This record gives sequence, C-alpha cells and structure tokens, in this order.
Amino acid sequence: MQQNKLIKYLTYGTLLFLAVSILFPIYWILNTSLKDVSSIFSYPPKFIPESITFKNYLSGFFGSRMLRYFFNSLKVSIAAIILTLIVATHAGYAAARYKFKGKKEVLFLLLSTSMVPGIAILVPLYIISAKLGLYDNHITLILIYSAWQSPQVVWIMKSFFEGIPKDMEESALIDGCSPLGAFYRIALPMAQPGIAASAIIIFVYTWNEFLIAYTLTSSTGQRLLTTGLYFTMTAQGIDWGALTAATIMSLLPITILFFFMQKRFIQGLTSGATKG
Amino acid sequence: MKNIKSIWRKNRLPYYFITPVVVLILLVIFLPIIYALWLSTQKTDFTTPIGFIGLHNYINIFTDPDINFFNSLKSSLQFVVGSLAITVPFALILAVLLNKNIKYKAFFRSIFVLPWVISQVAAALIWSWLYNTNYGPLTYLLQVLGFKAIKFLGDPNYAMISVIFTNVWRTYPFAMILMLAALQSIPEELVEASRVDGANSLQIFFRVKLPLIQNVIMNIFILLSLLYFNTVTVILILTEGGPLNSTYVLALKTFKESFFYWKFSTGVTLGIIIFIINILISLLYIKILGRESDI
Repeated sequence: MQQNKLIKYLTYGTLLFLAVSILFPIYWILNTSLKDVSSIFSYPPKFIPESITFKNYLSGFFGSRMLRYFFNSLKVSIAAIILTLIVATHAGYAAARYKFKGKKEVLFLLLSTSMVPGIAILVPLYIISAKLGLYDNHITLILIYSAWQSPQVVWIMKSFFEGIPKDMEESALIDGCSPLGAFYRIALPMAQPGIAASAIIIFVYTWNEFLIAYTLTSSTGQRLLTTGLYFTMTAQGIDWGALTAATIMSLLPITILFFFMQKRFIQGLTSGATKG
Repeated sequence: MKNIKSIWRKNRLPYYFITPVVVLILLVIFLPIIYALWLSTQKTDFTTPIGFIGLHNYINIFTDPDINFFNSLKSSLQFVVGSLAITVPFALILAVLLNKNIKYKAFFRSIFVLPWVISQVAAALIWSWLYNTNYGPLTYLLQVLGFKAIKFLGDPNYAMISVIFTNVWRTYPFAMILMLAALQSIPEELVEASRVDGANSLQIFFRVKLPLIQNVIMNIFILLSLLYFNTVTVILILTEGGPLNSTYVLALKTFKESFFYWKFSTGVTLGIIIFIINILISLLYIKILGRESDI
C-alpha cells in the first residue's frame, strides 16, 4: 500500500512538473505583454511583472492594424467553416448511407489528397488565382481552406453518420418522407456533435494557417492575424511588448473555444487522423 | 422493407451530395498539382513559363551548387528524425500517465493538448522570445545552472536542436491524443487477467499494452514524418533557414525559392520532389494499414 501511494505522488508530481514546463512559454509572453519597456529589457528577467500595464495591448492590438487582421481572420474562418460543413456533411452522409457506383473511387480521391503537400501547390495556386483575378481576395483563401479541410471533415462526418442507426430515417421514408427530407430533418440534427467536432477542427486550421495567406494576399488590408504577426515581427526593430500582446490576443479565441469544446476537438482529431 | 433497402442503393441523391466536394478538391488540389508537374518541365523567366526543357530543372536541382539540394535534404532528415526521436517517447510517457486512474485527468489533458491549437506563427514567435540571448529566461536558466550563454538560434551548432524543440512543443499533443485513445481502447479484462497471472505494471506495459498499440505508434511515426517533412512556417520565423544554412530544410527552400527569390522553376520542381517523397511516405502508411487489416 505504501508503495502504491509513492507511485501516486510520483505520477502527480511528474504531471504537474510537465504541465508547468509546457505552459511556461505561453506564461512567458503573457508576462512580457504586461510589462513596460524598461522591465521587458532588463536582466536577469523578471518572472513576475512588478507592475502590470495594459499599454502594450493598446499599442500592439486595439490601437493597431492588428485589430483589423483579427476580424479578417474571423471572417475568413467562419466562412470556411460554413462552406466546408455544407460540402462535407452532404458527402459524408452519401458515403455513410448510400451504395453507388464510383463510391470507392471518390473515397480514394479524398484519401489521396493527404499525399499532396501544401508547399507543392503554392506556386500553381498563386499563378491560377492571379490569372482569374482572384489574387489578394479573401474568397480565394476561403475556397482553398475549404478544399484543404473537406477530405478530413468528410471522413469525420462519414464515421459519425455510420454511428447513427438508420432506423429513424427508414421509418420516416416509409411514412413518405423524401430521402432529402430524411437527411435534413432527421440525420443532420442527430449529427450535431459530429458537426461541432468538425467545426472546431476547421477553425483551428483556418485561424492558424499562414503559408497560403502569405502567398495569396499582398495588400495590408487583406492580411490575416498570422500574416499580420509575421510582418510585424520581420519589420525593423521588434517592439516585444506590442508583439507579445498581439500574440496573446491571437491565442485568446482559439484557447477559449478549445477549453469549451475539447471533448469534441479530441473526438474529431482521433476520427479524422485514423481514417477508419 | 425491400423498398427501403433499394432507396439506399438506387438513388441519384448521393451523386448530388458528393459532386461539390469532388469539384472543390479537383479544382483546388488536383488541378494545381498537375499544373505544377507541367511547370516543372518549363523554363521560366522568374514567374513566367517560356518553354519546354524536359527534365532540365530536375537535373539542375541535383547539380547546381547554389541550390545545394543535398545539404537541404540532410537538414530535413535531421529535423524529421530529431523531432520524432523526442516527440514519440515524450508523447507516450504523457499518454501512459494520463491513462492512469488519476484525479483532475481532464484538467491535465487539456493543458497538455493546448500547444496543438497554437499557430506555427505564434509558437515560433513565443520561442524566439524565449531563446533571446540577452533577455531570455533560458539564458538565465543556463547561467543559474553554471553554463555559458548560448546563441540558441544564432549558432549553427544549436540552431537545429532549438528549432526541433519548438517543433516538438507544438506537435507532441497530436501523437499523445492518438496514443491515449489507443491505450483507452485496450480492454480492461486483458490487463486484469495479466495482473492475476502475476505480471507487474512494467511487464504489463511492455508485454501487453505496447504490442497492442504498436500499429498505432507506427502510424503516428508516418503521420508525423509527413507533417515534419513539410514544415515551413516555424523554421521560416525562427531562423529563415540560417545560420549558415544549418536549418535550411527542403520545404523551406521550396518556399523561399518561390516567393522570396521568385524563381518559380526551381520552387515548383522542388515542390514536385517533396510531393514524390510524400507519396513514398504515404505508401508506407497504406502498407502498414493494409497489414493491420489482414490480421
């Protein structure tokens, strides 16, 4: 019994130590973002700010272009979530319920997208969007993000619909409900947890995406948060107070959403990654 | 009931339902990759293709000392292998700890998953401030422990390992979640039976649990290899490939050749080479998955 207790304390001790180590980088920029300039550039570094100031949040976020980028990111993310969900719930349902010619080929096509690395199609996307007059346009980002996330979300939704018994839909069909109605009125409402899991998976991707946004936008007004942070950082002379404040603000929505929806998030991640 | 069964079989509805997603990925993923294949056979004047030159671009990539392909390939391998070597054991330890019967399990789990939802841009930014040689807490830590200050990102000897640490911090949760799910799927009776037979915890882990999740771990190796091999953003922001090209991995080179130096022929051809390496890694994945389903 004594030994069991020791193991228990060791487990908690290890977990606590690791949790603190993992969180420290985030704590450190939070700490910096609340300091004034003289205290940011002091050595040895202060692990707890002596006096708290919110000036950095004003100069680095609320009073800067970053606020605009924040709403750009929000707009693009929400649009991409909606488009992806519309496209992928339908396909996921068809794949889960129906037997049709070419189904195997379609599923293979979806799976094979995971072999295409984003970096290999950046140049073509750049040229094509320029030729179509869609360069530097949020609509392009939304379309690309949706295409990029669709295969995974189809997979998540497919396994979700497969987990719902089809009796309800079948009895509705017997009662004269159309197949379309069976999907919209019965299956879709029951798949809400799967839709939520998909939505947060898509949000994490779009909110954090950098390479495509960097490549396909040029004007400052079209920047997203990630590209905004990048250009602030590569500018001459980094204002670390302002930059860390902006970074904290960029983490806020995703962290809040993550803590509220982590069960769904983990569910989506496991069913999307194993593709089974 | 026979009628109902035929609805799931003879209906045009599924075609309407799958068409949008098929069109979307054909236009946004497959058309561009085919276009990239074509472009890689073209001579380009910066961004404009001006004529067919066969495999010249490929030969050029392997032979041009300015492109220094093999140096980048070496950096990519270091980055992938180094990241895997730390991520997989670390994620496994965490998954095992979180699979124990402990209090505050959900709390610990959410803390450990958190870095995965942070963008590569933010992660790189956070760590470049941590690595700051003059004001950073890591310099202070080294000093307290009696070591000399290190230029974490400015010294070619340390840059790669510093970049790897940031990468591990951001990506281990993915491996951890999949391992935890695999551990949780092991039936309790199996563990109990071994215990009754007199096996201790260590034996149970190595003889019972580990063999049961070894396929999952293999899959994680391959998924992470793909993820790491294609990583651009973290490295771009932390080091831009420097110092002395010590972190100039292939994916980053592809990006910089294309959009920093606007040499599309080099960039696109490197992209196709990366694509081919991705296919090889994925085929390994399919092979292992296939072997799993044979059992």
